[in-house]
Amino acid sequence: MKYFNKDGHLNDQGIALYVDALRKNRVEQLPDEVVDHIENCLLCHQKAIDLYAIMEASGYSEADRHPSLEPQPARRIALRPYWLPAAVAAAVLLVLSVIFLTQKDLAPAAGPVIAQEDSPQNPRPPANPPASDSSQQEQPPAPKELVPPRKTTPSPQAPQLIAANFAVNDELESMVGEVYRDEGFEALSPAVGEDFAPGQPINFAWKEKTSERLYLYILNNQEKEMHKVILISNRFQLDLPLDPGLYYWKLESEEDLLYIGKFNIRPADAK
Amino acid sequence: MATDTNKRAIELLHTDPAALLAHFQPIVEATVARFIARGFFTPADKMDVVQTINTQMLERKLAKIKTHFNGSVYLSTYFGKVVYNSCLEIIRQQQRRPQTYGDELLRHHSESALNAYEALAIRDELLRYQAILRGLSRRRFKSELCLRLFARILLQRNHMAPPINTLPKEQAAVLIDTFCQPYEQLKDKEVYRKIIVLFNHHENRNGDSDSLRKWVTILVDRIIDLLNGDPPVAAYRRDSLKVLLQYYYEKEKEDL
Repeated sequence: MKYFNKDGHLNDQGIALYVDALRKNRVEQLPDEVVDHIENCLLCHQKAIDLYAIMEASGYSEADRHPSLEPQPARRIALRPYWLPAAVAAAVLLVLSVIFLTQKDLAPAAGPVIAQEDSPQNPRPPANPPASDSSQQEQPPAPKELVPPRKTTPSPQAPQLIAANFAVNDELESMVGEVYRDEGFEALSPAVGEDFAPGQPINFAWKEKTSERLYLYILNNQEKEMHKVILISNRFQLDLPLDPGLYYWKLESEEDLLYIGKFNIRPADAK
Repeated sequence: MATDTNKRAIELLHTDPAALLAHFQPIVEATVARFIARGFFTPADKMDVVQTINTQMLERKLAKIKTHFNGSVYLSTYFGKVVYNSCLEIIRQQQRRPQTYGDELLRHHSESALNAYEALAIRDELLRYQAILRGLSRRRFKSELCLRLFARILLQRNHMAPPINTLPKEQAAVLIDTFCQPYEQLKDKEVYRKIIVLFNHHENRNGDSDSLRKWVTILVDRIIDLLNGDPPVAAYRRDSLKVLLQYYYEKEKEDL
């Protein structure tokens, strides 16, 4: 740990190493622990950018190889004269072998293949396509049902379908509960993850210093917009018969995303 | 004498520390000038502070460097860090308070003639931002493009390259039509809704514009915390950071 002091911060050598890497554009050569620390320690990062600015302003720069960020150039091996013909012969043999093997491998190929890359426009077919009539047009996958059909005998699949409605949405989940405005905004209700019964009114409320126009979106866990309302007040009651599942609510101003929260509509028989 | 300047400096450290100090004087002076520019010292203090640091170096700090320096970095940078620490020590001892700059200095840079230290403070600001960008390394393309958009800086096609070069023509045309002409009036959500297409194409994923907006918010807040400094030397907020970014990208065409 030659770049860290006993408090776990970068020592002078560690800060200097990071600054050398910035100046030489060699951040990728830095030890992982130095990069990780800089990304997580505001204090060390601040010192490093200060020192970078000072060193750049001083006009003092090193053109020489860096002692730890630039690898030593490979050493030349001084070959004795009698080694040289043998080395040349070995190299020729190696080249001939490669040519022979390459020709052999290429021979049965049907056509030139340079590279294969999946793209959204041209997806690669699956390795084991399902047995089907190739002339039949491919059907898009059926959209996932939000809830099991009503007024029918529950099928054995129903619990899984309901469970799917409660699956968290990774993208939205990472933003839940965070306030995106500098100051003056506070979400009051519903509480993050609060449970409601189907049909139960849901009160949305927040504190907001300005009286600008706001947009409230109710999204299901597939990010499908279930409801949208434009508001000037700082509260709203939702009387929408939502199916059981996890829902996210998103509040935006004309300019900014202000807040993302979430709530659950529990199945009627849930306790 | 070795031709390698770093090796030469290390030799001097062991054989003639006073000569090394003379050799590194530009670093001592640049460091003190920087702290003057940031308002910790007055220009009249300069020679006293330089003298104090030189004395400390000759009396004990060069000997300490000789013991602790392990050769894994350039000696000049390590020396610069020691001088930087010395300035901070003097500031603490003398309980100096800095002049914190907002965006006023940058806003009025062209309206009034700047003195040498004001010009130095601006350059210090630009170099610190440059350091942050360089540290982004692999994330630099996405970060820098988002920061230009955040500050509503007019883009050129090359700012969106290379991914724009392989984007379907219609989508590329939308981005060029939108961002290569003034777009200050565009709301954040519109900006991110349009540019997410480029990043999704580049990263082969299906991210949404809200996530991107959150990512940019975190990035911007981190940059503000870094630039505001400790001890504090600036008082940026999101709006005033935009002024710095606009100034930086305007100056980028010249040499910083």
